Amino acid sequence: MRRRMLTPIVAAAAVVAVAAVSHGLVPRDPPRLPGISPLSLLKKIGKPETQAVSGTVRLNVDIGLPRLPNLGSGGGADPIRLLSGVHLVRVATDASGPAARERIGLQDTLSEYDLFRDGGDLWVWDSTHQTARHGSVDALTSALLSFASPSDLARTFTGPTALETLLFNTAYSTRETTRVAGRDCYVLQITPRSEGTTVGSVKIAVDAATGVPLSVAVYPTGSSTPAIQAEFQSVSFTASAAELRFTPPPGAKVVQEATPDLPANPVQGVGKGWTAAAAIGGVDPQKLIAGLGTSHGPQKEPQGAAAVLAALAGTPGTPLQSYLRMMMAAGQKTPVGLVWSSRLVTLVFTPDQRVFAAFATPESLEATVAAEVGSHS
Amino acid sequence: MLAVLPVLLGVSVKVSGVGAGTGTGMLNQVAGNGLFLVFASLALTVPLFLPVAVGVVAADQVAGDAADGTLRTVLAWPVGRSRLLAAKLVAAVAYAVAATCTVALSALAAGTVLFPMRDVTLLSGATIPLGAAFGRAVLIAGVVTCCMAGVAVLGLTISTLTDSPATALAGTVGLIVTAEIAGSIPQLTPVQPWLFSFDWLAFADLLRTPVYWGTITHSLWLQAGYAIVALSLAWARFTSRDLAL
Repeated sequence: MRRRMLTPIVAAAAVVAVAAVSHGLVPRDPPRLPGISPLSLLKKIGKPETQAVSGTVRLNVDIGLPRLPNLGSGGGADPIRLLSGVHLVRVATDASGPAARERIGLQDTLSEYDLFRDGGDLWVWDSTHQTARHGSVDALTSALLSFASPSDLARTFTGPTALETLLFNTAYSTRETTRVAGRDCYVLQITPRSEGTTVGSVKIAVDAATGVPLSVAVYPTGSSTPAIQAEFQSVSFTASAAELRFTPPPGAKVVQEATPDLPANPVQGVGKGWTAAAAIGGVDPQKLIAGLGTSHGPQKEPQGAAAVLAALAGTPGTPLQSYLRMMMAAGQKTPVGLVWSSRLVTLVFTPDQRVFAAFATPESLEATVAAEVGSHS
Repeated sequence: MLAVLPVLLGVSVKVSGVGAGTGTGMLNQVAGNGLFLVFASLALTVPLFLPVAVGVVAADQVAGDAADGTLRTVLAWPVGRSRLLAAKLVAAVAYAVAATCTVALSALAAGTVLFPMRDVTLLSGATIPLGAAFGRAVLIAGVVTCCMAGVAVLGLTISTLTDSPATALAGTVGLIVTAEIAGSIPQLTPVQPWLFSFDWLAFADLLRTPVYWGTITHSLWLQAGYAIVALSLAWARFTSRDLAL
């Protein structure tokens, strides 16, 4: 009896061991690569040797927002869900043709939200509502989806504009190497050396052979768990033309959107260095939240678990709307506007319907906004 | 009952006249394409209904026999206990296969009768011909079957641990419900990928372009891991236990 009972214990230990090894829970030797200077690596990222990349990215966002409850009936894939939790995102880009083509697809349970860009032509596909929108995408959606692509996210810290403003108050290191999606990678570690920023460090894993960023992790100050981490689970340096082409499927609702009546560049940079803010004009948070979902069709009252949640939250609307209203209610009223801060991102909603976002402490961003508002009035 | 549910779902979609655009998720595609009734029925039954049905039958396999005294008779036959356990396993897994196929086939039949069958629009927005979509439906049924077979193995193991069918039943259903609840609590995110119920809905990845296999393979390995541990436990318990009741 005793001896027999050893079998399940041995089996359990073996299964746990296999799982631990196959999922990288046991540290393995990092790959040996010839040394590279930070400057050469930055150049390599700027000029990748391949124009086409495709793969599936695991995006983990933990900027301090409570996780959205995963309600089966509460709605499908929606870019606003990228604000928290773990998501799988399909990324495919091909810049070899005359116009750069790109697909970013948020793949949530039983649903998908896709963005297809072919030069200036843009399609947005929402499988939950079976709706294809042609023409435009709002700045918020575009920004959220660009978080999901390691290349786009890496550009925030290594692009030409970033280098110009960051080079002199940043420490760069290339001592580490790692493996991402089975590829040998250099790790570029970027550490800010300035006051007022919430970024502790940024680690970018760059494919040694092609120079394509395969993983980006942003660590807040004093934390060893990343607030944003986008990492390829599988990657290939080709992109199929069929995947990058979108034609609205039969039976889907097609919405042709007029080019939005926005100022030439809705996103403005304010300030300098690590505490620089991005300002987006024409944002009224209450209107934005109230409008969620209304453009897709008649808004229905929440049912079942969603209704219970909404009732608990004390605000009308879908769980997502309640969630965002609670988030707004947690903001602080200051002379410059409503300040909302998390472990990585700080937002200021000013009375003139602009929103300023920065990787900066609330005090630092308030000062930046005060200076900006002051200089215009 | 398993066969009735998809029909009920199909009829209610038909009667309520949910058209494309008004509902959300997979259900609003059912009206436009009967094959989606298969996907929607599986998506609806996989989280609770199907595993409970499979688990209840598996939990009765050994404990049921022990309770009504037939287990002693059976064990008196000149058949090894390991072989007897293997036969019980085959029966439990066969029921899991049959249960999944029942849901899928009755959904297919209801979908064909009630709704038009045409080319299928995948979650990614691409359209594939009906033949290829049938192939994917078969693969999906296969993946769901593997997940349900995993539940059957767990049920059988619990069944060998007790002589009371009620305890085995409560244990199995309790395990499924606990795993489902743990899977929906946001604070448990780090352990969730290791719950046996974690990727039960991974089959939807077969409805994307290109198909992403990562989650599906993780789900199948997970089932295999649980099955190996559970089976070894069932074997150790069943072959060594004293049945001098």
